[in-house]
Amino acid sequence: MTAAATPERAGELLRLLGDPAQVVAELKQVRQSAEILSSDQPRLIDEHPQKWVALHAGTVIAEGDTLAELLATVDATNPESRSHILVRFIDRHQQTLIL
Amino acid sequence: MLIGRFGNTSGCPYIEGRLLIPRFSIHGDFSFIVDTGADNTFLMPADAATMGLDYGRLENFDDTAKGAGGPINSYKEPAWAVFSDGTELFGYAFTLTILEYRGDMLNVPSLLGRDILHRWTMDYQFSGSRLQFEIESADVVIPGISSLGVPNTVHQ
Repeated sequence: MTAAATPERAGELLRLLGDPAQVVAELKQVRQSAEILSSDQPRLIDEHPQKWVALHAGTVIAEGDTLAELLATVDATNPESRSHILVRFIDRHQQTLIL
Repeated sequence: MLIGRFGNTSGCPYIEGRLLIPRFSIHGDFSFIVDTGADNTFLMPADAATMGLDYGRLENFDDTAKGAGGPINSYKEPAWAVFSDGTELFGYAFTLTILEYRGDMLNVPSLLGRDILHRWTMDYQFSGSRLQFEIESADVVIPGISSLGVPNTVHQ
């Protein structure tokens, strides 16, 4: 594996990220949240059908009928988590994506 | 090695990572669709809203992109994408494509395109639920914690 950055670029990223250990830990939590989206136990489609949900650290922390409502709930209840949540609309009717 | 996943209803391939947009000092953690058909990495409207993007501040408009549904209006913005294997951080400086705000695209997750995927080797086996990425190159590699529990310095 190779890396090709100037010291300035590396320093820029480090300044943006903050504590690398904390970022590693936060990305592990994001992974935990994502695994809920892939999990059969529980199935979000059974528990939150036709709702927007926000996941943080492997837990559903908010739901809403619209994305705006969901984000307002997150801001009111867990504002520090806003940059680290995964949001999804749990659609009972699977959409076909042609990207 | 980075570990991805498949959506349990869609079967769509995903991987999690962080996007940072330095000009606006915002960042967000996302589960990207792994899209080998996308030239570029795309930030979609729901993820843009989640990270607090102000569309009114976007400047570099681009109407040259095309998707399966026709022309796509978007904006370009310098960004970083960061991924972790659980011990290290791998950073990529790139030009992020931000889809214009469209309500009909709110359900579509952001896309990780070939601008970054071309720097990895992908092991894709849906039947075995295996989606792994060997990192061939990164712009910056940052160790998380050393064996002494102290953050290490940056590799280049």
